[in-house]
Amino acid sequence: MPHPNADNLRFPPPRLPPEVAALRAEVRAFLAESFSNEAWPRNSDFGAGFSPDFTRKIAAKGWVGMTWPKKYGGQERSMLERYVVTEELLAAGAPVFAHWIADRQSGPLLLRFGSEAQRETVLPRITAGECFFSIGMSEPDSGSDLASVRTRAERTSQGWRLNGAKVWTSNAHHNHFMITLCRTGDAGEDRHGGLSQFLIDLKNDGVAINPIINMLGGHEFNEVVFDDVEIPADRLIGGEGDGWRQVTSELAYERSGPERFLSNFHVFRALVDEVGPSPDARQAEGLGRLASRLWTLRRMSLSVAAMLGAGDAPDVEAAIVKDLGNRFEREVVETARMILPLQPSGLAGANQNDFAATMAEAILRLPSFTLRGGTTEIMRSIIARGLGLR
Amino acid sequence: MSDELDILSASAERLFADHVTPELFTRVEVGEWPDALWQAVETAGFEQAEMPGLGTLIARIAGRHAAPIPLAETILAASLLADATLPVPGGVLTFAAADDVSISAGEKLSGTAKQIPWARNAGHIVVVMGDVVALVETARCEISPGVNIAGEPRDDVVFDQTPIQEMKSGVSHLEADQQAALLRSAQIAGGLERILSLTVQYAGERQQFGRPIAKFQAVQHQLAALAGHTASACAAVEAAADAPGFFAIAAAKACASEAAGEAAAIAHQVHGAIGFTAEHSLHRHTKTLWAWREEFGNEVYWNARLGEAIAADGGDALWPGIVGAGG
Repeated sequence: MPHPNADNLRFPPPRLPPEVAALRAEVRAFLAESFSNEAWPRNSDFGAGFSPDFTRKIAAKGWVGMTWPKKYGGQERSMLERYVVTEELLAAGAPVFAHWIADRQSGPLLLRFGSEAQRETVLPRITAGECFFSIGMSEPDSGSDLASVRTRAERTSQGWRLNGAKVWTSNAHHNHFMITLCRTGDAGEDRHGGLSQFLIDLKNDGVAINPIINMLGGHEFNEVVFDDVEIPADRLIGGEGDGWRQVTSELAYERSGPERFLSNFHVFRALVDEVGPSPDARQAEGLGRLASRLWTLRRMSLSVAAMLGAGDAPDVEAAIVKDLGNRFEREVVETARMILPLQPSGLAGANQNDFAATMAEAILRLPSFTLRGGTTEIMRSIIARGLGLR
Repeated sequence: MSDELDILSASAERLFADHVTPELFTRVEVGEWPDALWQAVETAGFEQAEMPGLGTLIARIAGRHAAPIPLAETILAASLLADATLPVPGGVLTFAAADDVSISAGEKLSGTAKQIPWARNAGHIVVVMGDVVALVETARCEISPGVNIAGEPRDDVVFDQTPIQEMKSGVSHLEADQQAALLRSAQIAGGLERILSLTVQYAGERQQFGRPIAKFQAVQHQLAALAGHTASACAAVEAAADAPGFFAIAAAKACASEAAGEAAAIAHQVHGAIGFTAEHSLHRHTKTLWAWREEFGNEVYWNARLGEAIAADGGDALWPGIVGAGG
């Protein structure tokens, strides 16, 4: 057999259950109607469109928290059914950011590690499409080196007192809660001890939220500052010191989903129409290459979803999907500019077409894709560990 | 994978590991036919593996060992005959999807088929011309020997009023060139698995600057990229075998062919000068990758065909097309 460590990487062909076809058709019909009624710009980047209105509509269809228990408003559907809904939403370019984080990782985290009271308070509001979450991991001095976080939670007679700051906190100015990774004790030899996560109420706990404007000029990021913020004891998620285990369990969900290779699907789709039905040789090859890579990536990502659904922990496979998926997202943009030369511009003008504006935004968003959810360098280190090299 | 397939994979893996040795390659290089290996394959019945599932699995395992026999070709030729409900002769088979061959009166073939794999070793050749499948005896053909970059026989075959032994027209099957591309993709996937394991192992053993080169982050990231190329080619091949069709096979061969070049470059870089020697086994596997990536259409060929279909269908059909091509 091949070297045992190389043989550990497996992407078994997933089997989509038959009921998925009807669900997919239902999602497509819903999206076709939604896009005919509303003038949403199509953007497949999950982080590009924030619409509480759209989120409430798909929540009414039962598509937010759809794998969760019915007692919290979930539908108890499978991971693969959720996969189908999310990939259809992204492929259509729907505005999904409002519920994305809560649906993908905050809700599942609370289901797995949260107290019954925390679940009852929050989960039904998420599945109703009324409660949105932010991720509270990165700090000014802690990016890839997450274990070095310095935001500190100290025990008080009433609960906990927090001091520190989180950054790159998307939509903290819109969202209701943030799950926040804090230092609560000594790091220990492996540096992973003494970390705990807390449920922070962004509207009522007295945190300061300061905008960080991104290079497109948009306000999505924030700095969230804790200056002697007092919270009750029941906000601790799971046990004290469980933080590292909790954040690492979130990451496989965060890294292997369709959002790691579909962020520029709207560009690809528009490119096909811009090229038209009679491509020259180079255009045909360029479009075909994108299609063959996308088809392969989707198959790998579905395979990881099936493994997650079966209770496996395919961390290394998830890292491969994210690394290759992010590279593909860049290849979409690079291929477009090679086979259809134009001047990308977001400025309105007589000479501008929509595709030039689409390209301009895609080029400007691209640098964030290989950073968010773990950098390419971190992904490659995880893969190397999976190969037994570290 | 079911238990049955696991057992089959393990026994195929064992068979090739036992037979395909450096010493065997030395004998094959001077023109010897690896009869013991072929006999073992026939005894196991691997040459009768059905397409697409079992055939691609066996081809992938043979590819891991760069087994110097026309196993994929025999599997494909037998599958084409079976699809045409023609009798399958025993022994070594190969096939030719030939544009420059025609049928003349009295069921005879004329023309030339170029670079036919292992024609010199095959008892029979299955010739595919449009929807016609014909079987001829190799002994009735004129063979001009040639080899690919890995030294595997790729012979030109001249038919000059060559009698057809069996023939059927109006055959509807997955096109021969697609089946051939799928089998080569499977062999490439196996070759990639092999060079990944060779390279990971070597990086753990080779010491420089007082530690294994696998401990250097620059090397680790190269190996991670190699693992990515390997994993994507394997996943694409498994998916195409699972739900074969034009889109899936085009994507799988394009993916595998592109991965072959990228992966071979990394494997050689990590192996350093020792990998460039005749003595080290790495070149057995990189040479077959460099040969197979071109055969039955390289990535440019298949991507262009796929791209033409996508452009013709338009942007609205793009996503349904990707979802519909398996999964």
